[in-house]
Amino acid sequence: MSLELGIFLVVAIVAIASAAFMLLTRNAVHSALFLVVNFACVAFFYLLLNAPFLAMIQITVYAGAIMVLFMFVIMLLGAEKLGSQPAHYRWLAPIGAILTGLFLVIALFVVVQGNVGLLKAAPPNPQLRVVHALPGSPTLDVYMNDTRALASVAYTGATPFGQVLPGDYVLALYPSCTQPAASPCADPIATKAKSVLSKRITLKENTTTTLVLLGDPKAPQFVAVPTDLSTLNDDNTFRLQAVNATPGLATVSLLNINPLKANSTDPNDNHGELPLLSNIAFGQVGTVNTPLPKGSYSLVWARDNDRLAPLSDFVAQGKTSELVILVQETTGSGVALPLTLRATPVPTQEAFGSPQAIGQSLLSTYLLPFELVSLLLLAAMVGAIILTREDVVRRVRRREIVTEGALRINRATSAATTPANPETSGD
Amino acid sequence: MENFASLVPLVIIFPLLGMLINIFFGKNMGERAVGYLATLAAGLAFGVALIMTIAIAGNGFEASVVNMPLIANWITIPGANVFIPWQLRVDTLSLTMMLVVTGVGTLIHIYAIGYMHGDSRFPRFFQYLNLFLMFMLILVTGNNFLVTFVGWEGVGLCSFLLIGFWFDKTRGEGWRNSNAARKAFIVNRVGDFGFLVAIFLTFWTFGTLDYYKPGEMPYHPELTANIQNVSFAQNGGIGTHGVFILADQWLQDGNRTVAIGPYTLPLTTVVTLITMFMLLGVTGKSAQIPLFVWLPDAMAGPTPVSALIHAATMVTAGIFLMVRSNVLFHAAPLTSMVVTVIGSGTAVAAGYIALGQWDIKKVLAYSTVSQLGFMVAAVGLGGYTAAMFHLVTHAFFKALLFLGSGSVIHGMEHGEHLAHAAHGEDNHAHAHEGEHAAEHAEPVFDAQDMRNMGGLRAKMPITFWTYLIGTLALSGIFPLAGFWSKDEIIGRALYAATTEGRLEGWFALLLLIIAAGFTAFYMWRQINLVFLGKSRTAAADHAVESNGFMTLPLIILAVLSVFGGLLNFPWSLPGIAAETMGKALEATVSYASSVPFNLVNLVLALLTLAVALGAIWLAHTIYGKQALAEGNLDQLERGATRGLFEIANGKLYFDEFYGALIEQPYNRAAAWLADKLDWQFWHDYVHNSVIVAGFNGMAAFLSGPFDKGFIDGGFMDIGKGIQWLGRQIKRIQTGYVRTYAFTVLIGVLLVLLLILLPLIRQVLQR
Amino acid sequence: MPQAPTIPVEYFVLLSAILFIMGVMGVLLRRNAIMIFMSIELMLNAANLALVAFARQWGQIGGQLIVFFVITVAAAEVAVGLALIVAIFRTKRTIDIDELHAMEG
Repeated sequence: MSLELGIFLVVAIVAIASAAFMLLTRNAVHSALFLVVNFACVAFFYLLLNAPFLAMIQITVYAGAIMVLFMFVIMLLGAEKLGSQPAHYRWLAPIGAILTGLFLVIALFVVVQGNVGLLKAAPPNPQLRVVHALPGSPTLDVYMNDTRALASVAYTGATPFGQVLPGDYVLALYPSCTQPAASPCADPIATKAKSVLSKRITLKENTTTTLVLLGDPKAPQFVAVPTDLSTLNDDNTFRLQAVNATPGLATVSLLNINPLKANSTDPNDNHGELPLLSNIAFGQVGTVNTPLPKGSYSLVWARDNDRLAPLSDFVAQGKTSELVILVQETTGSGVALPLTLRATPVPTQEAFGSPQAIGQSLLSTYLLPFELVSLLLLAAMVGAIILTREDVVRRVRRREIVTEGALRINRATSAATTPANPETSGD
Repeated sequence: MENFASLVPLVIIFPLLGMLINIFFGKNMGERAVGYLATLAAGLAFGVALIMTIAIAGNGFEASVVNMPLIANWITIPGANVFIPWQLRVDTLSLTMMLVVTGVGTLIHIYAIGYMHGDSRFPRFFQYLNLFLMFMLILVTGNNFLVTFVGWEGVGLCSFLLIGFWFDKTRGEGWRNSNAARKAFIVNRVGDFGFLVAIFLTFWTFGTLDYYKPGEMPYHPELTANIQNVSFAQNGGIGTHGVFILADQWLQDGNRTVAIGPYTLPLTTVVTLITMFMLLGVTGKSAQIPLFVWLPDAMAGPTPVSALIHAATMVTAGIFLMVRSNVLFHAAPLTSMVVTVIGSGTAVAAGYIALGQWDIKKVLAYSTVSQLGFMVAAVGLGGYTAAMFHLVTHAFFKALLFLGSGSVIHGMEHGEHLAHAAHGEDNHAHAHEGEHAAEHAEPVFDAQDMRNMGGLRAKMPITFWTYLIGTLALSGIFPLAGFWSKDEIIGRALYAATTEGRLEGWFALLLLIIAAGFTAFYMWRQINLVFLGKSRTAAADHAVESNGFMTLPLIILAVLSVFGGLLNFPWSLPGIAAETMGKALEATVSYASSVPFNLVNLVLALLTLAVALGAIWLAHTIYGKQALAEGNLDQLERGATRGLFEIANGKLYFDEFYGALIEQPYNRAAAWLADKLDWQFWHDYVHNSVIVAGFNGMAAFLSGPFDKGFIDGGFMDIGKGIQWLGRQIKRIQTGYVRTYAFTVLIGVLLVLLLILLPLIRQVLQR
Repeated sequence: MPQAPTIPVEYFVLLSAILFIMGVMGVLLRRNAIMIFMSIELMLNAANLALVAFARQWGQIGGQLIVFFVITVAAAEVAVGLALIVAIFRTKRTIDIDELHAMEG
């Protein structure tokens, strides 16, 4: 029995006991206090269940606000205890106990037989994006299984991530249509136009893939970069990956230059150069194993002692996944010019149950219920204010709440049948 | 011709329209307008008939068949292959009848305007008259037995309606009138039954009721070739040929049999049966022995009715039918003999009865019966043309005589009225006496009793002279119409007796000559009683001539009676061919061969004329000096002839005979049935015991145990049950929140179990 | 992604069921309106607990959001409910719900 389970059992026992005391105590104030204990236990369970935000709300709203309200009312009315009138429906106690016992049996049955613990969510669909790192190639459309998918992507650009169902796909790239909308281009699929690149890929569940288009413009190719978007333990870090997309440049390394130590002569400092990734061959992906702290970096590619394509103002946000690509453009004069591309940073997933996660869902998927609940709360506030107004209570006491029309009908019928009886006619 | 023949539906439609207009607007149109309209309808029909006659005369008497508009396919049963179209036949025979019916009808319409003046139901009378014309024209124009039968029944209905037209007369006369109507109707039913059976047999035998199919020519014995040309390819000709062509062909083939039920009869036997049953119908409609008894009683109707229906047209329907069916009658010698015997017997018997009648119209009625007997005998003897000739001339002079008698009656009633008025004025001072006298039942003045008449010759000159012409024509005095037609019948009898060697020819010859004598005698007696001598009553003394409406038709009919003989004159005259009618009818009536006129006929004619003149002389000697003997007795009622007169006066006791034979047993049976079956069994037992008691019992049961107990109680119980249920369910509504919560808990558990049901099942199966 | 659960979800479900039926018992047996109210809150909490447990089990943030809403609705409910109780108390001078059965049929 792990420590966690032990704590759980203890707290569970406290919760049940407090609930029982709440039920059994004759004094309403005591009941309310026991209920607060119970709520606190539940809040603790929320913590155990990856719901820290809810746990906080439970404490503040429930155990705090609501229970205080209860206490107020109890105190206000002086209704801690009831008189000892003989209770009606004494049979309710045993039969209610039996039925609730039955309920418990059903719950047990479900828990034991229903395989509740084996229920799992379906794994998330694979996500895919295409990064265009092929110099000299036009804007491209992405077709999956002969269907236009994702967005058009221009050189140096990247499509956003798109969800697709898991399975095998033929991914093809065709030049985008640059004609005006009035005279659209022919459908490349229908005309069997030649694709820039066509490749068969397999997408598995719960994967996130960035396809980088790179290589010689005459022989382009895809490099599949698995992108890790899982929650970072530290919100102030980011992940970094690098791809070598220069066919002619053998293996390269990615260096981080510490500007403070760039001029240091200390050989240990090595000019402030810190290799992040090393020996990335053409078409290879390098991944920095540990997340880097967010902030400003000065990156540079190195081949042996050559320093290529420096990227000095690389500012990374926390909770992102970054991808840098080394490409080699050819200028008009035929000189090859190495260049570093930075793909659009992708935010990593928020932690499950975190306020951010809840906030994201609440303001996107659950916006309408959220608004409705807000309205309900507003109506309840107004209703509570009106209900507790003195004149309303007085009207209720005088039974004027019964409408005039109903009273008239009542009077007429009672006059027709029996002598008017003010005692009964008002009921 | 085709175009003119297609007008034939109009002769039916005109009277129909006249009737309908009079029905819907007659009440507001006034007498004159109603009368004129009805007359116009008849006159237009006559005009159409005339046009068609002229057309057919110029067309070689070619017959044509016209479909009645709208209802041509009135009886069509495709499954049973029964197709009896409503077709109208236009040929010389039907045209002859049409002319008579519409021509005489028009005159009688005019006459009726004057005669019915002031009647409370004047429009209805003319509606009936037009209706009658319509049905009569349907009868004569029909191209098959069924259409003819429709007309046959229709005229019977109109006859009934018109005989009983004055059913509301006071002092028992209304009863007598309506009884007469019923008598006519019931007696005619017997005859109609016969006709109906004949129709059924015809249809069974020949598979059709059409006389001739459209385009067929009647077969003529002289022209045997045309029957050979007829194609009998399919089905023995059924469906493509009419009854008469088939009958001719099949009879010529011989050995043809007809299966009727379990019997297979030779065709000749069947034809004899058909004609016999048809004869029964004829005796009913044309008032022959044994069914003639209704016609004299039918004189209860207004005199125009008697003239039109019961003298000129309807009663001749039987003759028309037999002439139409001459092929069948010719093929049934037995029937022909019976027809001859019945006809001549009726002629003599009715003529004898007429001798002893006091009622001016009864005399004419029996005369009509007698003359119809002549015609029937003529048919029986094969003298179809003679029968039709006599039919036409008889229509002229008998209508004339009836209208004349109506004029006399009218004058007598006026005279009675005037006499009464004068008498009343005389006695005005003696009011008490008058009242006293009124208390005594004054004997009912009978305006038709010839004993009350006499000396009307001076009072009603036009009536007298026309009546005299009618009398002479009827008596067969040369050269009036009756002479020629009657002589042709008698000549035919002689021809049958001698040339054809038929025994009944001698019988008929004898009886018909006797009947001719009777005719002349009773007619002259009537002239003596009515017009000659002195007035025997105040009414007769005050009688006045009728108005122009009534005298004009008399004059026209008198002219026709004089010259009617020209219709079938034996010799050709300038502008008139010999035997016009005979030639015309020969085109239609297959066996209408005329008898060649020779010296024997001349002798016979002179003999007949002598008999008639002798009878007139005899009558004049008996009645000439004094029409009535002492005590209002007939001259013959005294002495040796008293018995004979009484027999004639008693109408040969036919009514009594029928009374004893049929009416008494029938009445006794009816009384027994009424008493035993109706009162004792039906009323007392069935009604009181079974129905009333049963009904009461059932009602008591239904109201008591069923209604109160079951239904009421049931609903009360339902109500009580719902109340009880409500009280029970009310207990659920405790008002205690915790019980509600408990209910919710139970519901939650149930829903949970429901949701978990698959899991539970899965676990149990594991 | 949530971390691998160390405490099986069944335990939480079971605990939730126990707390829930205790709330039910409170509703059924207590006559004090405020006590019934608090029992209802207990039931809500039990349900919330189950929801959060399943949210972790499924890795779905929706479960937690529902809890969020439930808490909000509970707050509204408490506000109105307590106001009603106050009004009733002022009228009837008691909050014993057995005394309040004017809706009896």
